[in-house]
Amino acid sequence: MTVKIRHEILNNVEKPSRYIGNEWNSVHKELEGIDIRFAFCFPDVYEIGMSHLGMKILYHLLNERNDTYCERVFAPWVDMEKKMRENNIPLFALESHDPVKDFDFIGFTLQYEMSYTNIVNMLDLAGVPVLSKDRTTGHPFVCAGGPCAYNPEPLADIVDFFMMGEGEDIINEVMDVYKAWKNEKASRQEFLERIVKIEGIYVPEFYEVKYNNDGTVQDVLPLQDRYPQKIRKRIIGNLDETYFPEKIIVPFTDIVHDRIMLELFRGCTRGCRFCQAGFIYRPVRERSTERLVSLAQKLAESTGYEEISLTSLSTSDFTDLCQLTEGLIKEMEPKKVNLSLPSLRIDSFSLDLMEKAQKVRKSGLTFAPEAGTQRLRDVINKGVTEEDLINSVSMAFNGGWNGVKLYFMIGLPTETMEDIEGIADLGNKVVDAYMQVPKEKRGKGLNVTISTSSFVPKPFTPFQWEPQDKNADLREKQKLLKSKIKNKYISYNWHESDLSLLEAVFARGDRRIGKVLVKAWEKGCKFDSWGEHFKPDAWKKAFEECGVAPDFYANRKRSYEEVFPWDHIDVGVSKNYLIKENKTAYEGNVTPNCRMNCSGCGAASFEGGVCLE
Amino acid sequence: MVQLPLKEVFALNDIRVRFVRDEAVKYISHLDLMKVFDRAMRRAGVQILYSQGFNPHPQMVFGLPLSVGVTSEAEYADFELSQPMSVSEFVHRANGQLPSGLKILEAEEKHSKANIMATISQAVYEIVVYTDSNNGKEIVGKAIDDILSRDEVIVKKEGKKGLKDLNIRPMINEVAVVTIPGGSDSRLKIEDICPGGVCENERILDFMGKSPDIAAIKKEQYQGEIFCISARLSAGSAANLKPELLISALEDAASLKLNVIKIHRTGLFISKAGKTLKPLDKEALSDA
Repeated sequence: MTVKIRHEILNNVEKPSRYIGNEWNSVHKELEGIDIRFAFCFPDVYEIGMSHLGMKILYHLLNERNDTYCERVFAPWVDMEKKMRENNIPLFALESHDPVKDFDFIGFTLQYEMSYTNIVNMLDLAGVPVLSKDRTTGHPFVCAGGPCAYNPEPLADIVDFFMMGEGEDIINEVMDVYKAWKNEKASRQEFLERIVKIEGIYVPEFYEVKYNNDGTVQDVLPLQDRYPQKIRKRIIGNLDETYFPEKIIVPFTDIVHDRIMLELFRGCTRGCRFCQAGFIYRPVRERSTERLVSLAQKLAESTGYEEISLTSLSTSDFTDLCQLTEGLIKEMEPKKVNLSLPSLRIDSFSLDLMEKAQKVRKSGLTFAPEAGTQRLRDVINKGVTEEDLINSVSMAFNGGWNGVKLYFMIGLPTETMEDIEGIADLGNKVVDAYMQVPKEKRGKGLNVTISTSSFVPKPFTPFQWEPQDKNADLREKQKLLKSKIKNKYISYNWHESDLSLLEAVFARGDRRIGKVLVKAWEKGCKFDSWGEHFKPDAWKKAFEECGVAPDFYANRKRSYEEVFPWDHIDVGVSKNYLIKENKTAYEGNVTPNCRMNCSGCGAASFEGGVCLE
Repeated sequence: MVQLPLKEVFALNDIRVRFVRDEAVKYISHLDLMKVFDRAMRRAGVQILYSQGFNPHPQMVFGLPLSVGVTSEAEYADFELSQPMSVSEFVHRANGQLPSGLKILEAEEKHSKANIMATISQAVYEIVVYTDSNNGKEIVGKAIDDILSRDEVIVKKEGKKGLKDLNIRPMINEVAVVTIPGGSDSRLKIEDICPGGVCENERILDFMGKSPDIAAIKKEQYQGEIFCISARLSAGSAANLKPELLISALEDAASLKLNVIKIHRTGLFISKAGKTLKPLDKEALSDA
């Protein structure tokens, strides 16, 4: 395939390798015999999107179909976009360099709320009407999936249909329906009517949202009886038997996660109350060690990658971790493939493993206590005690490690200044633990980094009723913490709160937020999660001009009776369970993990995975 | 018993290759290119020797790095293997795993300690340009004569402390204008670069047919000329002249804007004991 973009353009932008495609294992098909062209769009730049495992799975899965050609699309960087607009080059797919407006589907993966302006921008750059109601025959269908799709409402005016849950099966079902529909040359409406019958499909235009006088949602109602009251997510029951690509694209250029990623399991048993992923991906389903080692071998052969990593929400909880890592080290070492380890719970097993597997010098270890006092850690159900932490760091320091990163959130429910001070205390205790280790044993030069981010309440968590701290309060807490950290070995990083506020608005937003999104984009907002491009003033104006108050969404405490804009989506875990968890949090009590004791969250209705153990 | 240096004990095979870097991969950086080869070799089951120590890396050395956006049919690399392999097996396996745009064209076993990077002395480039003048080739031809007649040709080069004056004349060995078929006649210049002053290079001719830049130029009722400037320039660590600077100098001498559409390297030469050799010449591959 020759690169169709002029040299004159590509030679004058940053990292032209972002736009050339043709990477090893990228798929190229002749258009003859292809019924469906699918543009899989990641709403951020190449290096970010290429690191996303979901895209790798669905790209190769769709391309297994003889009737479908799936190509990748990433957001062009600002310099390339400028040249594209100047030269009337519409958004193109990477494999063919064909304009995506000629495709059958434009599919977005919704990984984080601050990517939404890029979605609007990419549709505009493609020459496709931004609003769903403006699309007609000849326009592609715009669809979306991924974790943020569980609250689809902020994008309800833009996306034609959402696919809830894991995509492997549902995407094929949609393609099958599409193929038949395309042959019949029926209306757009007809296609949407047909796919709404598939479990997991949500078509926003088939629903009406009614509001109360106080601005909260009264109801989300299907406009016809034939549309489901609740849309239930799809999951893959047996991960061993489902599709996983044995070839993945090897990029030419550096990307954020440039290695083979082995997905160990989906879901999480811990039930940390702030964590959306842990709830929406339940029930926990694991892959077997045999399958994983086999996949590792095939992927190593087909890619030649020098590194392989393990991915899951809590790798230390993988039942067969010891056997798996042994098996992988045994297979990969002779091939000169390194095992890159994710964050593991620090204990003698993991320290030993890190020593065996990591080829780089012992540098830093990460811990995420999330809260500074045991009281608050119990409230958020983060099962880490101070004793655990100090034992772990001591073990690490004894083994020669000398760098520790501690992650915390501020603005957690029930938080007081005492909890903030507790963060500094923990830091000091870690330093003390280092000092206890005899000089000859410990690594030279200690550095402890404390990093805090602002808590953002998310839908489908026990904290979905909670207000986010106001910016002023967050800043005060950051200031206090900074003043309490006096130890020369400890450095403190914190994240700015303007972006967190926006994230909080979109996470629990309803359809009215969609107008603010488009308005903000019109004012030039895009690449919001990139510091140099984030425009808080433009966002502020967008909210004002739309007559929407951000604090209604971000900083308001909800009552248990309130109807949420996402209540019509069913993720398995029930609202009643989340209410129970919220109450338990306020009582300061913990809930044990699923494997120890089933708490009846509702995920068992899927009849799979850990629930059956 | 005398301890042999590590290299002699473990490196069982040294192979030097010439490979092509074509349109499909011309925008990848030099570091990217090395990673591409590393991964391709791993897929191919070719065991490259790795360095010792904390961060082992594969023992491959590449000749003069190309700027991003430049193609070449004269790229060279030296590989040290830890498992012996015949040259033909090596090439066959590697070519099976190299992405499109990269292909090994020639390879020989190397018995010399000198590495390719250190000995490069000259490079030959074909620079495809277009001008707005319908007399461009003649004007540039005259400018070339002018430059070659002088001792000093000064251009501004970007240095660490800003723009610096640089005399590039000593680094220009040969320059000629070359017609690309489809245009008008030109003068004869250097025979061994392009016989008869007419382009016969497959890749450039292929490019003329497929390039979106050429298509865009020709669309707009183009009155000017598209032709090639062929140049043999100093290259390597001692003295290195990038073709873009030559173009800059020619623009000055010709008082004419030269729009570069493509730069293609067609040759790379090394210097050994005062002689100019191709990196895969027998003499270049041994220490004799």
